[in-house]
Amino acid sequence: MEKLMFGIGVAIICMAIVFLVLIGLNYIIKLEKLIFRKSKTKSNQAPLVDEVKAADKGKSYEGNDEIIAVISAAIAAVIGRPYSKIIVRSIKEVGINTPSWALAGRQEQMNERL
Amino acid sequence: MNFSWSMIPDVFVELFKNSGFVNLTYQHWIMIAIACILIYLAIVKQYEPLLLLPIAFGMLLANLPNAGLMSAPVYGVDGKVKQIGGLLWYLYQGVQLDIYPPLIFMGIGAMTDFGPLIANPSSLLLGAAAQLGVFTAFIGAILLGFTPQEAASIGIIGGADGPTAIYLTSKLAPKLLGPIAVAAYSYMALVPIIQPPIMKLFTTKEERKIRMDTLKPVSKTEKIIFPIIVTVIVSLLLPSVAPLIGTLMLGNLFRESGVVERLTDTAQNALINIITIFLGVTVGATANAEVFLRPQTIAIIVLGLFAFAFSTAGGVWLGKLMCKATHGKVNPLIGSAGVSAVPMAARVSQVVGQKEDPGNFLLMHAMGPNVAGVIGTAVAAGTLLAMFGPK
Repeated sequence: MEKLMFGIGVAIICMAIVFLVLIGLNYIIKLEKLIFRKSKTKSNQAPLVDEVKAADKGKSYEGNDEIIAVISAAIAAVIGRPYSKIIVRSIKEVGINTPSWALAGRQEQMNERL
Repeated sequence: MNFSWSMIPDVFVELFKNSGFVNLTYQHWIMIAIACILIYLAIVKQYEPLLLLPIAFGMLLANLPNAGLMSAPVYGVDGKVKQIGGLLWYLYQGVQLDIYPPLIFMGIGAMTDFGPLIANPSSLLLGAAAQLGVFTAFIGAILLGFTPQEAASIGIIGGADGPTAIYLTSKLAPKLLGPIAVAAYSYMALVPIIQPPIMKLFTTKEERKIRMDTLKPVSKTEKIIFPIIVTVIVSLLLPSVAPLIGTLMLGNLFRESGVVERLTDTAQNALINIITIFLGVTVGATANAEVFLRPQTIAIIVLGLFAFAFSTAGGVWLGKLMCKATHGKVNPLIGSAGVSAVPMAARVSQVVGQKEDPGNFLLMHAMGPNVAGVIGTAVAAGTLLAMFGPK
């Protein structure tokens, strides 16, 4: 009987501690969420303006040799000519107006070929 | 230096005398048979093979007489090494000095996404409820005459967390390390068999069909701050488990920070694999015939199963309570994932839920209690260490 009481006593104390610690963590996470959700809603508007500005300006690839080399190599591979026989005069960024399903289909086709 | 053909039989007799065959007892044969069964379960049935295979092979190696793989080094009176120890003895120091379990935790942290837990912090309660088996098995072990230290080590099997079980046992009852580690990892491997009947027993068909709302997205900042907060709070409250929680959260911070991809990759692949080999083989090697073939091993294995079953039931019971409190928004099946066998216990919740409703996806909801269970078991171990650990 003494052993049983000891066992039950220890079990209750330990279980209570486990619950208290995890309930404490639960509230801390909730508090963290509350803080970050507030700061997120405040900061959410600013980047939108930035994005619009960036889109208006357009992107210049001049001087960015790595990207030019990658795009040129991709064109050479697609049209099947050696890299030395093609001349890339300009690169213009085209906005994504394609529906996402079409994009996904295109991606799938590319993956299949690769 | 003359060769004579008559020497040949003597050579063979001497070879036989020095071989392990002479010292093989029936206990060794039993242990070799058990090791072979575990190897079979690992390879053919694929029950947690990453762990079961090295453990079983370690068990096999430790029960080959005269091989001396687990022999400690012998020192002369002058303090110099007279005979070096066995390979596994040196590797075992990582278990004895509590080096491997925290390193395994670092890998687990690097592989774990705490997002579902942060999205639904109430999952932590399910992780706490699923520790019920730890303490009910503790009571059972005390009643069977084990010391409080041994009972605590046996109870922690119910947490379904191998590294924590090894960490606690090596501190409280190192002599029981072999049987406890084997029982803990075997039951972890048997999660898909042990849990479903208990889950079905305590839930109704309607409860199992409950579909839960989609989890809200969690920001990167929340995911980065979470491991830091948990480390500080848990380590301050229970300093004895700081190595486990600290490394778990360090691994997770590697992952979530996104700036140390190489370290994340090492922690979740190379490091955890290397440590798993060392840990598995050496833990298996502790299960030699003299230690393993005792009545208390059977008691440990039965109590371990008891612990596991009660932990599953504890999670389901609280899940049912939360289901009632939220007017049917929580599926009680996710409660059983509160035992920390990550991610297998969460997968079991998903599979049992889908048997009732094939369109029900509980996996991500169950991952919350599942990772909470890892923290819960570490907290339970810390509490037991604080009560019964070396002062």
